[in-house]
Amino acid sequence: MSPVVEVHNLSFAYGDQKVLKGISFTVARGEMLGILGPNGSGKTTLLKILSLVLTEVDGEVILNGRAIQNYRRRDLGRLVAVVPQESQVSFPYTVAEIVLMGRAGFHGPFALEGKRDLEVARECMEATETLGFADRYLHELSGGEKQRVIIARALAQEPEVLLLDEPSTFLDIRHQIQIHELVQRLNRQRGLTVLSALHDLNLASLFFPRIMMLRNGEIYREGTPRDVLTEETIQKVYEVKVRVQWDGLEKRPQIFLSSPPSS
Amino acid sequence: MKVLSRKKMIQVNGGLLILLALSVIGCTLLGPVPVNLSQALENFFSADPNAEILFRARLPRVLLGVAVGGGLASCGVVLQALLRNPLACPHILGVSGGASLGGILGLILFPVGSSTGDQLLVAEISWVPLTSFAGALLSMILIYRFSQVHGRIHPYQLLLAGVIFNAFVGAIIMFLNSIVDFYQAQALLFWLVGNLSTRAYLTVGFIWVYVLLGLFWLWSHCLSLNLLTLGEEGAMQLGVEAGVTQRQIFVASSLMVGAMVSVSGMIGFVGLIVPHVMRVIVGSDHRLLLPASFLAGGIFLTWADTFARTLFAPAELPVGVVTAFFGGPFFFFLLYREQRKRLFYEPSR
Amino acid sequence: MLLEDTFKMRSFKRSLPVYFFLSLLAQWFIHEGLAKEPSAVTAGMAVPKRIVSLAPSVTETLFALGAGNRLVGVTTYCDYPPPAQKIPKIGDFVNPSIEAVLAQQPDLVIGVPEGTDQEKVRLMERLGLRVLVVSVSGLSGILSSIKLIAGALGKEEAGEKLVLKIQTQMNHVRKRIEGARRRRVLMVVGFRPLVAVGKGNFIDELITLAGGENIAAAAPQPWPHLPVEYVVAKAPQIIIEAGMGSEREESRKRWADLKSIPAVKEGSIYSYPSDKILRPGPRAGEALEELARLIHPECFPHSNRKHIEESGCESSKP
Repeated sequence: MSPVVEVHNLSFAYGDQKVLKGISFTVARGEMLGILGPNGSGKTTLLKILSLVLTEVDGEVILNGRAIQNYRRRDLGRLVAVVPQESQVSFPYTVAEIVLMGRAGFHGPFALEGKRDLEVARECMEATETLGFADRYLHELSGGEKQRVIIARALAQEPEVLLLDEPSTFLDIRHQIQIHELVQRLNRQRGLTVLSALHDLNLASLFFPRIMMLRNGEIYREGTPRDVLTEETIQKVYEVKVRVQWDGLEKRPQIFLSSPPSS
Repeated sequence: MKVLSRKKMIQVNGGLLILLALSVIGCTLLGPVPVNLSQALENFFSADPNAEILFRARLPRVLLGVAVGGGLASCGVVLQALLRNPLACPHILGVSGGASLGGILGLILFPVGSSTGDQLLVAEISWVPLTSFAGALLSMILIYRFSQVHGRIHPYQLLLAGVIFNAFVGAIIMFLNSIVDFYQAQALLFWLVGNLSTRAYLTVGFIWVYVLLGLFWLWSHCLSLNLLTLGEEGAMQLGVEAGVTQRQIFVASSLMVGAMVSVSGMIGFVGLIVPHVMRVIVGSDHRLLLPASFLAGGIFLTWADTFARTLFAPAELPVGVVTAFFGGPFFFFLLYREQRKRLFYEPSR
Repeated sequence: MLLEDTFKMRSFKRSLPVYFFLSLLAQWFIHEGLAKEPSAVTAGMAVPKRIVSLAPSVTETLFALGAGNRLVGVTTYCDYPPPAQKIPKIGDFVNPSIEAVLAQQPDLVIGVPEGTDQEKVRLMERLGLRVLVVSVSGLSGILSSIKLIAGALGKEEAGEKLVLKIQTQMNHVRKRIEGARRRRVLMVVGFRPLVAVGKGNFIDELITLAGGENIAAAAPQPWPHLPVEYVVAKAPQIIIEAGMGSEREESRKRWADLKSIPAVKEGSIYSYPSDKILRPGPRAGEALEELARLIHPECFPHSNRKHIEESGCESSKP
């Protein structure tokens, strides 16, 4: 099967500042890829390029066998769905209205949502356990609940690829795990290809079978958590000293902080 | 699951349309001078004072009020959504000010004097709305540029830019005031505060055309406006061409504001109050909010103008005074409410 | 540091509009508190030789009293009589320039309360200038202001003569139109907005004296904005557009749509281009006659006569 995402020699610069320097990788259908790296390493930029938010790039990005520039934004929206770090809505919309926004690519500007749209929305809300809030306003929900709604909205786009930009960064640990479990479930049950930028190394290790570590706009290491999350790699990339221990049946590496630098 | 359905669209818009029709009839029948309706209808085609009052003096003014009120409310809705700021409206943002300047420049560059009826009429329907449109568009672009901090629109910056621009426009108008004669100065002040006066049906017709054109153009972007609430990037990821949408909305609303300001001056607060009230009643889905606000704005302004014409009969107030009277306290109420229940949804960090 | 933090507090930002409004209120209170009442001219002061006029009517009065040569400063609106145009300008009617006034070193400044910024007047007094404020509201006001000004100049006799002349002119007009039926008149000075002459205006008195009935007299303001429907309802027989600088044809076209108005039907729409009638000054008598000629042309010989059935006055008496 051909890969869903192919990136060849991708470079991007904000003005003079080079953010991505010739990275290449592929993602197979149904894969879960965690993207790690310090701030400024290019994680968010990469996701923006993959969703056509940033368009002036050097190099090739091929989605489902077609160059990304050849996609109309609307059509891309039905292939790739993005879950951002956090959502600030400027006006009071209900959860149902937000989820239905994911269906925008399926009907014209004057048309109202039809039966199928409502069905899909309902189903996505069920999958994310948000159907109970359907008529509540988004800004009334907690962080974790909000993120689930946003994931439901992304699912309503009926995408093949789900891009997540640090989806659990602002959540407490319970909700962090909840979100990642949900994403994992969606990947397994629906065969969604998932690319997620992350901060938390341990969560990445637990939930992502494949990890890509970025440093200064380049891919520093790529592979399984065991391959990537080593003490030297983390030292090199994040410039902190840590201890790595293997945990659980699958022997996923878990990172322990060493004693604080001052003592 | 409560979502926007065809039924709701028809119910809300239909209801408002009926209210609007009733308001048009009511406001035409009301006024500082008592009118005999049956006589007016009987003598529709002859030179009867009752008929003239109703159909020559009042009705065109009421119809103009609907177009202007509806247009201002629609622009308010759209600008609030586009700039993601509940305090945006053509007046506060300085767009009406820019349109005024454009219109004044148009009158100066193509002098119309206190001219013949025909010349003035032609001016009214063609180049004055056009120069006003240019002024509105330019000010829109300027203010949008000024209010961006690192590519993100900062709400306070936006308001500040609008306030400063308005002050600038006010200063220019005051300067003009000092060099024109007494009677032109009165007219300028009248323009500054916003007014509705009796115009020829031809003028009213043209303004309706400009406003309706703009309205339908804006309506086609309502879905995008909904999506823009998720942010520009969020909307782009859902298929919205944010740049295109923005440009088209700027042009369409400038066209409307230009046409309206050229004929009624800077009427304020309609674009602020009506969208807020309608949002509470019908929700934030712009596909319904836009037409509903248009109709509600028309209702609001015609009644405000009826008030303005009758309160101190026989003299009349400019309608801008009445809208400011309602709008000022409402504005403070909005700010107060924002303290207790967050209206400005700012990021949590 | 603390101030910065205060500024950053959200609640501060939100209460800014309230502070702004309060400060405006405070400014207004302070302003009014410091203001003084304008003082009257005390008798026994020296006869003024250098006079600044702050209003066109005052300028005209001074010339009519033969004291035009004492004028050293006038407003930009003072264009009558023609010699006044050569006198240095000190600003406009509403906003005279204090500096320009001071530069002329006047020993008397004369202004009117209906128009000149009273703040400026108070300021001039505080700066040591002698200011005379004469009210010209109403015909009686005009006449008494002439006497007051004459008194301040030491030209009481000239003042009496001028007042007599005006009164004679007015009596002459009254005699001419005696017996003529009153005609409903509307006088407008602006079309958009429609600004009419209201009750609180001396021109309203002129209209009445000229045998007219001002349809806008129900409005107490001197320059009310009228809605068009009011004019239609009141059906004036004569419409006069004063000081609008427009030609007669233009005036006619403006009103052409409203055919139920008698003035429109009969074509009695006149445009009165000059400002003469709008100046509450010594030409009030002349203005009255011209008005009467418009309202009751049949009572005057050699005027633009129109065939009007019911009139009443004895026609064409020389």
